[in-house]
Amino acid sequence: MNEVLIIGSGISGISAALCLADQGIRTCILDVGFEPPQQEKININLYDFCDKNDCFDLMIGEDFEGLHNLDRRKKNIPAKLTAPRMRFVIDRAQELSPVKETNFQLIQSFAKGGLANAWGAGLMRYKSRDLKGFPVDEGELVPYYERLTKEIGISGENDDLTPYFGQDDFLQRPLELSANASEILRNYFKNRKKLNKQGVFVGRPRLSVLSEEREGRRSCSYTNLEFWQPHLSCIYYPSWTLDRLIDRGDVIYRKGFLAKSWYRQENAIVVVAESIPERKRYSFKCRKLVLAAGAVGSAKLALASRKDYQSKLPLLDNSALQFPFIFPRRIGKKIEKHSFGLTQLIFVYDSKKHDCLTQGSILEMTSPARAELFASFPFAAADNLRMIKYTLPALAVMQLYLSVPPEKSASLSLNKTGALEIVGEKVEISKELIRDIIKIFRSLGAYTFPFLVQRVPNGLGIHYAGTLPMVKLPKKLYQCTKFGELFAEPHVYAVDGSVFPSLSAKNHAFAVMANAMRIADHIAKTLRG
Amino acid sequence: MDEAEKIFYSIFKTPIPLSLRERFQRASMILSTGYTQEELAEHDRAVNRVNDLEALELVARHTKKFPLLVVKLHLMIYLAETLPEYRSFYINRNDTPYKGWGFLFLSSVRTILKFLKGFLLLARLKI
Repeated sequence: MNEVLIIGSGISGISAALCLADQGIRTCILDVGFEPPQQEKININLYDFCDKNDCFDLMIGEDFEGLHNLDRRKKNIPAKLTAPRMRFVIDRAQELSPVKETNFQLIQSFAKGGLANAWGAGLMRYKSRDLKGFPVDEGELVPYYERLTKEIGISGENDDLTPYFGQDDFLQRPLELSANASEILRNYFKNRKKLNKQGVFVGRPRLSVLSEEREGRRSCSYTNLEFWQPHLSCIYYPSWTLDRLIDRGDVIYRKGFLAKSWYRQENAIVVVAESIPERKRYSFKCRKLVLAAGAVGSAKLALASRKDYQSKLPLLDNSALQFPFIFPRRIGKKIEKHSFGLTQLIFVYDSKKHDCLTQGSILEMTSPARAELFASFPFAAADNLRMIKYTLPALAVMQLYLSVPPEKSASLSLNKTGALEIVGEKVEISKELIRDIIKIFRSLGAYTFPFLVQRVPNGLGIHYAGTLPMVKLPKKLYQCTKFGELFAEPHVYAVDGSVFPSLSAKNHAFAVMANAMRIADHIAKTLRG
Repeated sequence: MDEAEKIFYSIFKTPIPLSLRERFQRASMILSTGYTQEELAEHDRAVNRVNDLEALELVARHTKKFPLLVVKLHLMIYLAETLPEYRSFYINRNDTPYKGWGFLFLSSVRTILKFLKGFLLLARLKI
């Protein structure tokens, strides 16, 4: 019998396993565990590579995976997930966990390391304000943030955003900025006092991307390959910690198993899992069960284990908007080949006027295919290409996240066929807020128009949470204690985003990881008696 | 000219490379499966009767007509980007701000003209 069995190998499962390993407790991880295709790695800049090579295999693929968003029968997914080498992240998701979606688009992963294989790499701490409604305070998470920072290697800076992301004394220096991002930051410093009074703060992101070499991993070499190649050496992926834990013998990794449900048997919990591809059922016994299959996956397991086809659980995801910005002075400039393709800057708007705290990630457009942008320009085809060619070096995009009130959460249920049903709610976003943000960016040298701002479809914020919320005193099924233990299900713990009772307007990955470690620490203590 | 040649020429004004033609045809077969017989017939009629597919696609994109033509033109944009010899259509490698602004202006004017032509073509197709 396993002492601790963890279902899922994403950010939360690995953080829990790491914490347990730190305390000498060996865990078993049950996972489907799809891995990236075995292909030769590209070690040069994307632009140099594509100048010399036919990039069909890299960008489109023999099965035309890269054309996913052109196929009318399929729902649009983020461009990064369409790249042939990145498709393993969402491989067979609909087949392994069918979902019927209404006004919501769910992204699921059965890859080793989960959705983090394609993450934006932003790691922001949840502060007291973000933890409103949680039975946990900031101080309880700090030691785990610090442990994770040492494990991962985080670049960034303690700057104007420190009140929002916390003081971090172990950061590597921040990454080099692109020309567009530098212009924003320059203009921000020029108008800082005025902007700060309005509640506007701009600074460097905290990224799980190395700016200095560390433990055999290379520092960022600005190759623009972020959208195309999995497992870049400079970016941290949970699967690396997993590999290390397996090598050290701290984790037994049972790959190729899809957990279906659990039941109790005397002093044990028995997890029923289906092996892939034989589709045979196997049982795994454990003393403590840790649910780390993601907010949706863990909730599905909880519902399936109770054969509950009635209950509707809340499902939170950040609402998001995409702002394209143009920097007129950079129109016609040459492409910045030496660039980092993910977040360059973070924008925080702590607005008293709108009574909200929003946060945006400002990204360069140097990594995605130009063809991805084609439909966003309104001109004739050849003119669209010219526009892309000459304006792209002057373009940046901000993905702005907004918090969603729990009453506007989507609902999740399980039907008798074993499929999930998710119904999203329409969340209104103030037009005045959009106009004000556009005005703020004008003072930062970046221009856009309200009609160009696009709403990200419900669910594609991909910050899922809230299905099995932690509360001080759980009274209902599908609620958890402060330590993630499910109500009426002793020794079953949820450690992923499912336990977050609310979502702040920021990437919750780092907080999920720290919280998973906190719960794992508690599990370790209970095991030691 | 067949469909692939016509679409490619309407954007790049050069003959289509062999490898790209073969990829286009394979991808087209996959993407076409999401369309009704009626839509496919409408698309074939447009491709056979119209030479300036760029103009027709522009109007189609904005009026939601001929959805398959819009997709196939976009498909060609995706495929051509993967070939080194066509990368210069997508990427600006020199600092050319005047050229950039100039193209912005000229492209806007050209698009207006193409739009007008596209409407005429659309009207003719309906007849």
